[in-house]
Amino acid sequence: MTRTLLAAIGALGLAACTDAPISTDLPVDPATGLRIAALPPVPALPDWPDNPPTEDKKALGRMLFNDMRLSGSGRTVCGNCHLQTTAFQSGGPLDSPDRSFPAITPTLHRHTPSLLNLVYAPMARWDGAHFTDIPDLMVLPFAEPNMNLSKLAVSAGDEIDIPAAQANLQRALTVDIPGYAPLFQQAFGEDITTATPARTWRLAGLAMAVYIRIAVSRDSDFDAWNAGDDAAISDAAKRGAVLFTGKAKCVLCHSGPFLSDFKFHNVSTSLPDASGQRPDDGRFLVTGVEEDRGAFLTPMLRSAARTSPYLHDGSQVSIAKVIEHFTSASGQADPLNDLNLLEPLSQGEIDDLVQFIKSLDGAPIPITDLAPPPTLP
Amino acid sequence: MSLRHVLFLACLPLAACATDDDAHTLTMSATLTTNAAGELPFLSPSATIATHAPADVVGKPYYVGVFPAGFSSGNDPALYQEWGTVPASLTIEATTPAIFSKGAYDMVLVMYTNTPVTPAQLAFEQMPPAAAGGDLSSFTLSAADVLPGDPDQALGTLRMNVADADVRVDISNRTPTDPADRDQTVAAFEHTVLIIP
Repeated sequence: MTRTLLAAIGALGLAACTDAPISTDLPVDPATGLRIAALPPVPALPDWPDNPPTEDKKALGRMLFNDMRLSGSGRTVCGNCHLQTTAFQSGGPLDSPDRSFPAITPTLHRHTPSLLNLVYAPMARWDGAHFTDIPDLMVLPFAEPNMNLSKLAVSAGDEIDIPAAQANLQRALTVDIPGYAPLFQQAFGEDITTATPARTWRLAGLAMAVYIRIAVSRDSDFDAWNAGDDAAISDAAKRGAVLFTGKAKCVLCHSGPFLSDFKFHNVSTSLPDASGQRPDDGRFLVTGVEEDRGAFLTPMLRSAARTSPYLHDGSQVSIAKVIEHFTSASGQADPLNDLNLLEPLSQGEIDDLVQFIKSLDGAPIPITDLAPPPTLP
Repeated sequence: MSLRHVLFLACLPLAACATDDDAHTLTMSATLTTNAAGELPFLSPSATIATHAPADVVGKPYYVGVFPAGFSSGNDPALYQEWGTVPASLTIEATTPAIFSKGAYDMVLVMYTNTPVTPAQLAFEQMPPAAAGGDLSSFTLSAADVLPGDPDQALGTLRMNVADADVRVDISNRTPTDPADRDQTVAAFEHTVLIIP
């Protein structure tokens, strides 16, 4: 379906663009208040009427995100790979969440994505596995044995065991660290010592979801330019923005306020070998649909210049290399690839696109929000 | 004896570089020391301590780069960069040529103890690989060296503020004597060598 959509859009004549000088003198559309309506600003944080954000929930979520006593070895936390001070990712291609192991294992087989703007996401994880909503997503890693976050057998690898993880977390939060129960009572008005493990699990997720609302990338220089401030970004970034939404066709997948369609695409990053085997089958592992082999979720691009390396396996160090891949023969080598409409770009055009993406850096998050909790129960 | 490969980029039209008396050097010195067990201990980002045997570090390639303050890792070119090999002394001292004029710079050191480095990367034909689990990186937690109005430090870098003299920073594999002591742990994150998770 995706390929059909791309083909249809391509047929509209976008491919007819040439290397002629790019006009960046785009007027602000009075109707939208924007120069490029396809890339609107980040909206206000979602309301979540079923889980109204409070300082108590935020503080509790921050503790759960940073409490290594909850982990199997007592030596790892979410923030070990999702470093708060570095765009909620690690900067490495593949992480080993628990550094207390004698060898560098377990090493995750996919790149740790940034958590920036996750609170807005209608879909998450490279293959979308187990995604229901943000609270469930936030607590899910406790059920992933290779994260070693909740005393599951690491040898189980990727075999998620939610009931066992719920029982472990319940025990940790009520028996091992009894100081958590009053904090849950204060945040939610519920007694987790009498709650079911599933309910405690849900409350933990709700608290962590409120905490991760700090991880927002918005109010970038591009947004200022897009709203009419001519001087907000460089000429190169302006040209990049025009290319992004025009000749380079990036906007076909990277659209909307977060520059993602939140869909899954094969961009030839997990090619089949001679026997048809791929290093990672991606979305196929969730759907079983043959067309989904090698497809991964379109990542959001706000503050992407702060989240190198790139792609599901962290295999590309720079944005320029990602673009080169997409527009080269290798980027279209997969028989299932979605990029067969893209055409080569000059080095100058790639440089302009990089400058545009760099202009998507969000305003700084207050350091007081990024710091670990001052105390733990 | 360490083997160094240096790429001197001052010939490029970089406004940050200078070639007169106002130009200064930047030096980063990293000293790795063993614990009582003869292992090299390192803090991880979550304040846990992991170790390498010295033999796993000696002889491995290291990269030193100097970038404009607040650079985008992987996306902004270095103003100066060099490759070397971790010597048996476990002390690295990297000094740039005197090309840096007044301003703020970010300097990074990565020891690739785990990630392979290709000949093309060593020859600066390709960018250095992203540091991965087990590799070692310069790190400091506080933003105390970031002057008002200057951009934030990038991941794994140390801020070098050039005024009217050469600038030097010393780092080491600092770890807390008592891992349960929060103040000790926070202090150990300053000017340290961090292990990548």
